[in-house]
Amino acid sequence: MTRLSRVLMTVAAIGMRTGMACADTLFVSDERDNTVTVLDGTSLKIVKAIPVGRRPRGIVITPDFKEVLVCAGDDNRIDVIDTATLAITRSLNPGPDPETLGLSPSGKTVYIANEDDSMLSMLDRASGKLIGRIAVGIEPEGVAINADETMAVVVSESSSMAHFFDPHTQKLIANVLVDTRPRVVEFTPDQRHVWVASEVGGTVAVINSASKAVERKISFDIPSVRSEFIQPEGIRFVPATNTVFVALGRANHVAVVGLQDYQVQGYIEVGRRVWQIGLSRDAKTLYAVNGLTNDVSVIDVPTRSVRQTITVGKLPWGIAIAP
Amino acid sequence: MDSQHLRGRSEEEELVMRCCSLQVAAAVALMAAVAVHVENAAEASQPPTATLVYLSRESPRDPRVSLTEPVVAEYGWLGARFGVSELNTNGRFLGKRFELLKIIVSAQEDIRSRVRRVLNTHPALMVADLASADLLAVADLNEAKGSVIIDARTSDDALRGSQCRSSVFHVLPSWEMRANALTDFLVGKGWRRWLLLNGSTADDLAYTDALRRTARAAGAIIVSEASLPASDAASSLTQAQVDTRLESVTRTVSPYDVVLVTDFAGAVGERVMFNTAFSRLVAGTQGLRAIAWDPQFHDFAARGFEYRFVQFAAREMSERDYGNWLAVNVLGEAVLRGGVTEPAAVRAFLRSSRFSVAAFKGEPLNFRSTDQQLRQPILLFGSKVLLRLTPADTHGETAGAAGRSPCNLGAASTG
Repeated sequence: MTRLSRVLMTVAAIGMRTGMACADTLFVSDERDNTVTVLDGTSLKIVKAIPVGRRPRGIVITPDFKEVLVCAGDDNRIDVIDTATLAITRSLNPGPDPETLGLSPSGKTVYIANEDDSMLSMLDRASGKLIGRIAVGIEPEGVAINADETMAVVVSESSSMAHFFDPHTQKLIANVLVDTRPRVVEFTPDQRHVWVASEVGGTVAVINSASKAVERKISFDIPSVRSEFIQPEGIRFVPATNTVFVALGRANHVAVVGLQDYQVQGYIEVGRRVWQIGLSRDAKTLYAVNGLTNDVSVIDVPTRSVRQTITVGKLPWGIAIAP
Repeated sequence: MDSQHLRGRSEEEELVMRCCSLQVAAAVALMAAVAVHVENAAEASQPPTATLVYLSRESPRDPRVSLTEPVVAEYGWLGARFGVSELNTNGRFLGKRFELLKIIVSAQEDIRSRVRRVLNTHPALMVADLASADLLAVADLNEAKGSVIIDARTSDDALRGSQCRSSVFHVLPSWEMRANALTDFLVGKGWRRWLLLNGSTADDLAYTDALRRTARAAGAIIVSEASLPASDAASSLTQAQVDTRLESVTRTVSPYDVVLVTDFAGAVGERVMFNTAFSRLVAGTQGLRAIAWDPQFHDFAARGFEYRFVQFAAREMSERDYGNWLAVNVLGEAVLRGGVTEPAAVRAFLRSSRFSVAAFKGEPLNFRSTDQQLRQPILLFGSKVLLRLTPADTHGETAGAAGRSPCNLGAASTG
């Protein structure tokens, strides 16, 4: 493909995005290719592969959908992508080895898990200035911040803990032991619980946000899959259907769980080592990122079936979605 | 366990990580380790939640094969220390603290009298970075009755069979598990005809024996066997003579597909590849190896784990370091997750269905109830990359079936 045709395709895609209100744009971080693959949500075609820093993993979009932030762990930086031009506009310095990140609901503060030095860093997004650093457990990873930004949680993989902290005082509130190697944490839509996915433990812990007690542990059982391969990763809540989708890693399935009763309702087979999952803005489509098959499974939420599979870059890891 | 008692009785022993002592703090500063959290003096003055006793013996042998390799001290010990430093990082959030008591006997010393003095009939949680004979000597002490001993170092099949002890748990894969992993791969490729070349140490011979058993069970054929030329300092062979002998022992009448070599010291084993009479592959202790750890292994967050160790120890992690780290972590799981510190309760927890440990192998690991061997995937490494990861449940589940005396410590309690 010539450079000119690539530019034209990009321009056409941007035109399409702005012209069609419900067409999402997907941004997928490709850990091995050092790119972010941009896909058009309607045509499911690749719009662009944006070269970013080395080993891109954690990826989020700002609440105004104007910027996508991606951690480039091996370059110790966060690249900021303008969602209109699909170009990197600047980079933030988050401290060593940022694996993944969270964004406050206001979009003002970036929370970064510094995997190699057991710290959580907080940056002001606009200025890129460091606001604070909190010592947490070993190999911090997933970060979640509640809606009114009074409480945040980071999980540490090697310590197997969920660390609750106050973003304002930057002090730890509670450290909750969960099953081994927790990687992802999310607040429920009503903010009353956090769900923590433990990769090696094979469970999702439901922790009460107020008492910090583990109220429930959700286990998964797929008859055709060895139990060790059930490795919960990405979590997406779909309040409209009262369900939660949980990616199960090397089990190559996404589980559907009841949001209220915690019962597993079914499993959807996807590509190999499904990692993070993203939900379309209309909550009708789920995108499952499959690390080892280098693709994204497009799941129809109402029918719980895979509609299509799209090839992206090598070792895709995370996903962010813009309207 | 009675940590106060242990400390009182062991003035000559080195108490490291009274979490973390000035000595460790200095070491940490020296190595600019960022992953290590040094707790403050106030915390260090509190009694530890658990004291782990590290046992080892000095070795006069220089393990280097190439003179360009760095001189490395403290194999194993740094793995155990790294494990305790990470446990204390975790424990800090839970109000728990670990101490590591270091006992290293000299080359000729009787380990039993040293351990007797330290234990004085009080059962302990031990990390045994010991060879088989020392391990059995400690396990059979009256004073060690009721202790939990984590074998951090051996792969000895006898310790998991006819010589098994109810107090001993094994974290590294046995010779038989390694031989199974290699055999499955080689037979799977259709390379069934083997030439066995063994070194002279007990480990070399035991690994060769395991390979013979697994070959028989899997239908591989050993077309010929020979001993490697001696490689120790007493040998008068020149390098050229060693190469000529290798050429000679590999020139067999019956054709073979693979040379299975066992030479842990490596001086001769490393020369087998490319000195064979025919163009054949090499596996065993050189060439394709069935191992528990390699610094190049990077799946399942192993890359970050190795990185943290290098920051801590200023060198790469050896398999012996990994075994010691894992032994410490097994005990750490019992204390932090199981909430138990008394050796009897620790043993029950380790044998229960509640126990599992994450060890950068992508799945939770637990102990087989019959011989207290940790089930685990095994890495098959050729050069820089992982060739295969064999699943945990494919090797060694039928211990004894391959022709050795079984151990039967009974079914796990339901804990």
